[in-house]
Amino acid sequence: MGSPEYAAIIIAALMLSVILGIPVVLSLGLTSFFGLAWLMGSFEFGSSLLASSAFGAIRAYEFATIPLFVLMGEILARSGAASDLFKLINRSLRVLPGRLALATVGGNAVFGAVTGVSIASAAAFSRIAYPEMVRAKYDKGLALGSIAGSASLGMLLPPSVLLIIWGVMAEQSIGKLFIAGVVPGLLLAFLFFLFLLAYACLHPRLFGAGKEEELEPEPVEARNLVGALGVSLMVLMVFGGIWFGLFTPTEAAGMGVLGAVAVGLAKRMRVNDFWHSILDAGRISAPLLFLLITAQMYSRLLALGGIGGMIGDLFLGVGDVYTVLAIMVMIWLLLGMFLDSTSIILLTVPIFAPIAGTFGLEPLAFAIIGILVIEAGLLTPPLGLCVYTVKGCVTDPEATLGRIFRGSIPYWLILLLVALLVILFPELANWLPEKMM
Amino acid sequence: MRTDTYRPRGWLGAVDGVLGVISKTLTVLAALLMVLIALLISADVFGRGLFSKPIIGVAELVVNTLVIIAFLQLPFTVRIGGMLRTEIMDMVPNELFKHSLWLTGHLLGAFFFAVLAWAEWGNMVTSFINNEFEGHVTFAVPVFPSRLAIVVGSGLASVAYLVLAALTLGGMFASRSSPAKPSEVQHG
Repeated sequence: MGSPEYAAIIIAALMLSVILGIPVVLSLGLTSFFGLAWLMGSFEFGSSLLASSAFGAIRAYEFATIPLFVLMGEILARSGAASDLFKLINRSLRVLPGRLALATVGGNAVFGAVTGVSIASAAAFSRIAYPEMVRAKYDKGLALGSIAGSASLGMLLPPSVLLIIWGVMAEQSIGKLFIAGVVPGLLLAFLFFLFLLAYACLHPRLFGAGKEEELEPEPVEARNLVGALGVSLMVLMVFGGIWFGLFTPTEAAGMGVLGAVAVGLAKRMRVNDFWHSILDAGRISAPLLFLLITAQMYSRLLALGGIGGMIGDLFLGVGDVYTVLAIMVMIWLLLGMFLDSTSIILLTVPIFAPIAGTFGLEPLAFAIIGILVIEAGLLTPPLGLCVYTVKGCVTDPEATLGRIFRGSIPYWLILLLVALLVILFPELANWLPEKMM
Repeated sequence: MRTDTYRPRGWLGAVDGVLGVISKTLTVLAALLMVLIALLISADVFGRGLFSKPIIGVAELVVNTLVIIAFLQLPFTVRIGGMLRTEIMDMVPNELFKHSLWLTGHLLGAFFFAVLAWAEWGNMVTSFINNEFEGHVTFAVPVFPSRLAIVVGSGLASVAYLVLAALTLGGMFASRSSPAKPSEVQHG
């Protein structure tokens, strides 16, 4: 057990290392290594914990979900299914004002339900929806904001890599977390939809002043239906399989990859495309697995050094549950300004989840609140990751970072509004998992 | 991919080249293993659902392969700067300060993975000599391959970080604008 000074030094060293741009894996690993060596008075102890974490930390069946769900999303992203979805939804919303922005939200909601990372959605829809909106004379800030903002849907709707990582760190059932994200995710999509619809009625000029009515949406061909139908079937299979207890999340991920390959074949993907999806999936998931290894070391340091308990006592002294939640939300938003969502979860959840438990917060609702707030952080300057991805995928010189950040503000507010709703009504997250078979 | 404006020459270039080939090969191997896992899990689901015959030992195989996949990907991930980090300090206009931070990060990485490779070495040798297995009586998986992957992956990762450090240092002295930047890949 360390002293309060020890705890303060460990947390300060970790934060300093992260802010200075040392990879988060190394920051977590080295702080734990030196922290334990200091605590136990021997480097031997630190290095043997390092070895046992490397060997044991990701030795559980559910960790296979991470590379597999990422692989499934990568294959579907390359298959052109996102573009099919966009076309189909765009066509069916013909009568509504601002349909291109609405189709971006709708496409993201469905596509988000088969991909585990928001960045994948942001990249896909920057290429698909942005040129269309520019052609319809949409305000560019509004167009870019709708893409960056609605990409956050992917992290809430299952399968979500963030929910998997949350489940691992807080020792919760990943299947239940997946189901818990559904209602808040749909609510979020609905509110995005409502906002855009109202905005388009009030300020038609920003939505091209009816220019899009003159542009007849592209006709939906049979091969577009294949992609859209394939993705919808995959959503049903993954969600239904977990809901009815047919599959564990790991099995759903394995079957999901098989389904994605089937959609890819139906969409006439070439062998080369498949190969690149596989390599990309490895490139994205390997760092996540390593983060989990060193995060486990950090968890052990928190426990052995009594650091988690000390910070918990600090929070207990603060007072009521809402103040505590407000502090956590502030910390998440602050970290979101310069860090990615996975790292934020790994740094904070081992400390926050037990505290939330002490205050009697529902663990599922707490997870969803956390994901919503952390996703909002991906839209804030200076380094909001979703905004940077959209910027990287759009060649238009007028698509400046400032413009994308400004365009994302309404989505940022709606994300926080939904988080507030889940705080006030935890049933939004809890209701569906309770009904699970 | 990495944007080296500073190109390594001589022995450093040779080490960088060899490391590039090895890490790429290991990544491809890991990618194939990943597909294999997906197939194995699906086969198990079908076997259980359609013929009431689950495949014995799928969980053990998957778990062991996962560790191997992660560590085979490691050197490549390090080389392409795939490890997640914040880029907030990259906005600082002072080149010397920025590059010194990158250099520190690379050296810390080399140290960390060297410690891991060294700490795991003994376990690997023991598991080989004692022919250790893990799992149930019905299905046991040898431990040695996972431990070997950890030693090889982290050893090469340590070398990859050293090469990055050398490149950064070289770039600093050659005063180029962008020596071996630590991250090029985005995640979310």
